[in-house]
Amino acid sequence: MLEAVKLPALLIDANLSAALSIAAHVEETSAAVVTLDASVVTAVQPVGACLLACAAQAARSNGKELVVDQWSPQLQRLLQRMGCAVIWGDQQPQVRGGEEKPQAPTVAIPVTSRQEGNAVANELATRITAFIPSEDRAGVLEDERSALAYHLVQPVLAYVLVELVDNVFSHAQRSAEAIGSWVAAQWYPTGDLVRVAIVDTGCGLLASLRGYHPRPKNHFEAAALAFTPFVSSKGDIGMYVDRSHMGLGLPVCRDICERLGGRLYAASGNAWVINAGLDSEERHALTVPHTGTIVSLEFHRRAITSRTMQEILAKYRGEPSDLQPQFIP
Amino acid sequence: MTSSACATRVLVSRDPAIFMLGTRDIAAPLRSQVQDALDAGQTPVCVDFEGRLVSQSFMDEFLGMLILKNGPSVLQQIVFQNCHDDVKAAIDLVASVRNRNYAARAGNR
Repeated sequence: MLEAVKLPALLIDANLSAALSIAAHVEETSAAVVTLDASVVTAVQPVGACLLACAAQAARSNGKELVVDQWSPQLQRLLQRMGCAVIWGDQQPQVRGGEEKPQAPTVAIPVTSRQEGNAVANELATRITAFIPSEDRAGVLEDERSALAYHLVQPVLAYVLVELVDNVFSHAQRSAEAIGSWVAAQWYPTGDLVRVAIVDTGCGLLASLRGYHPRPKNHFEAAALAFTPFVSSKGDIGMYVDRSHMGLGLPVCRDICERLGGRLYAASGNAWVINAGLDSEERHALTVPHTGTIVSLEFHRRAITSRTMQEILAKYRGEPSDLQPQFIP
Repeated sequence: MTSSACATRVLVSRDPAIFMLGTRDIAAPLRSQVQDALDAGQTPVCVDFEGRLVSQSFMDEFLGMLILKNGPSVLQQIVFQNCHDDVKAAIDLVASVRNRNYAARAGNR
């Protein structure tokens, strides 16, 4: 039995429910073949690419075939790089005027194990930075010996990527079941926005924080806790802090976005929260819940300075203790 | 102090493609190298970052756990070399937070 579903025009952060409904439909339908009609797709942000990959994995896991029809070559390249188990339909889109509107450069990679996470994050940051024209790379971050130099966006991009990837494999695990996760980054040539998204099929924020006291009662409370500094699903139990995490990964990522004029979106269960913990926080109930966790963010790369990360981390330092680290050149 | 005065030297990474160290699985074996040197009395231990960058999660898994296990005095036995200012900021953050955690735990016993 065949079934066709029209993809929304916008697979973007602000249209998360529409993207999630596709994934849910693919998983729930009894059809053996599900065709995704991509003819009206005009924009795919990192979160959209990751959710399509998630839907493709769900289809494969349930013994279904996922066919993408009326696709653009850019969408095809993006999904193929993510290892999406899709079949490309025969019908390509009819391009008006012979010119295809370029999609913002996007790099997307699946992450299947903790061991490859750091390398994937570094690769993504390096590849996205390479798209930015050299004359437009605002500033360079150098070390004291100038042995290593990075364009300012590269370290910040890598920072959020490694933190988000590390979070997946630290907190999202549910039993022995393998987690699917996809991470994507995107740069907008006509502006200075950089976007990042990571989607996992893990246990979600509420389940990961079940050991925290007091235990969050719903997905919104769990999202609020996840972005509270010094709260971790691996936080201390009573007075024993030997295996605790500091609980700063998500708060620092959020602070980076705020500092750089951007936003951070987090979704888990039926909770969709924008800028969690900030005065600008927005909460929305998703009509289609997501079992795992979705984090997507954006920031303006030209707002980055050589002191951005130092100033953000210093916020959480507190009073210095008597014993200080020793540094040598 | 110079690196020549260090009894043990630990390089954080040998992979030229890696400029950011962020995940805990990379930090744990480095921590083990340092802990082994501490246990063997082969100090001070020089940790050479070679200009690479780190996340606070990496630094917590590396240095934070060393402080929780050995106490803040471990900072007198470790020397951090070739650290970018961003790395120094991560070290300062983790050291201050974990020093407080250690003191709080000691006070609860």
